[in-house]
Amino acid sequence: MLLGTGKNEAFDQERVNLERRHPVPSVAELYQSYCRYLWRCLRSLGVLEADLDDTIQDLFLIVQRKLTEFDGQVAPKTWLYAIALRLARRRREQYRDRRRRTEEGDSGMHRVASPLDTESEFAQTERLTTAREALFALDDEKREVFVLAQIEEMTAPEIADITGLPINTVYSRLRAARAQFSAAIQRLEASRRRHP
Amino acid sequence: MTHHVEIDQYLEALRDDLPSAKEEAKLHRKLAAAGLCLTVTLASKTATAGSVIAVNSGLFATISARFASLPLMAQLSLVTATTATVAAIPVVVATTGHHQVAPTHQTEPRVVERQSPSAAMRARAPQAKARDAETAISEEPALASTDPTETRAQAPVTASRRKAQVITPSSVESSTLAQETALIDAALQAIRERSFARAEQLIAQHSRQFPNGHLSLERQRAREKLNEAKSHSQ
Repeated sequence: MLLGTGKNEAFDQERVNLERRHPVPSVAELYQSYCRYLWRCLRSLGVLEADLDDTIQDLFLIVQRKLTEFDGQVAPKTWLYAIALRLARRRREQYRDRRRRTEEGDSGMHRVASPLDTESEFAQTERLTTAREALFALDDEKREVFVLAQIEEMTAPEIADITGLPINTVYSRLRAARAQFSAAIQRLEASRRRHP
Repeated sequence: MTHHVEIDQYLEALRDDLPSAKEEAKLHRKLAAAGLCLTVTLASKTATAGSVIAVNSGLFATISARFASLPLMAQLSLVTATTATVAAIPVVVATTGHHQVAPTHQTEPRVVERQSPSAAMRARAPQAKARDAETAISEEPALASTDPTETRAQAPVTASRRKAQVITPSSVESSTLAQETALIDAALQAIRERSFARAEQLIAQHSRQFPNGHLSLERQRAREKLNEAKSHSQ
């Protein structure tokens, strides 16, 4: 959180230097450390179940190609999520385009994976379904910031690096997204209580 | 505060929404089939992730991953040339998607892991998509004009492919891939034995004979290894 505040520039610089000292990881290391979380992130960002594996594959192929250009200016995690974010955006554009062409609704976007319906406990599944409905009630811009902050538990400066947004915009979007998410949860809960 | 706790529970549910072990295993297989090196020890040894996976005599695993979509005969020739030390070794292709290399004597039977042709084709197809996606890194994603599933290649599985086949030594010798493998393998061996002149000669020979060959990446890697070994010896 200190980075970019301008209050302690020496400390910020030291932190940047420390990050630069991180050795460049291999694809395998990145895969083992982040694959599961990238999968979750892509899913939360609206990549459909059917495209998740392909998107992850695309992501790691890009990582493999670009790893030699990785200069350690940002943390590997930030770099990976930035790629994931762009791939998710691209997928969403494809879905929109497809919907425009086929004049279909966005039914697939809110779908929860079927294994969860059968394997998890009912309450947990219901909670997840509600959470995902609330998540997809947010617009794309707010959802990106919300997912990175609340689900991937990243700091605002990290999110600013990934999205390329000014840090104040990150904060304001996050605030608005939290409020909308909370309101959506309340609305969905109330609706469920009325029609159990 | 109750309200916040409730929201936290929903966020927790989203955080716990990770892939199952089965999904992870499936994904791992898919990425491995696409030629990605996912083993940490090997990756850190090579330092060029996904470029060369050295198993036993060299390019064994790379061949199965990178050239999975090549004609079956060529693949088998490559595998055989890499592993065989005896001239006549019948290679029996099992219909289950595994190749069982059954030497006549001297060595233990060994099973070579290999994707089925259709699976391998499916796995390779997104590489083309990745090239498109790569451009999206440096620029805002543009409107996609095609369905992502449209680019997925469908592998025709012919009846002849399903049948068990026996590769004769002559087909092994005539295979370009086998020649390429033999050259690169010999070059790598020469590097290991510190016969730098010979390694250089073999790499140059591969470069002359197969300038755009299937193993040009491996040639490049071998050259890097050679330079590295040379600089260490000086």
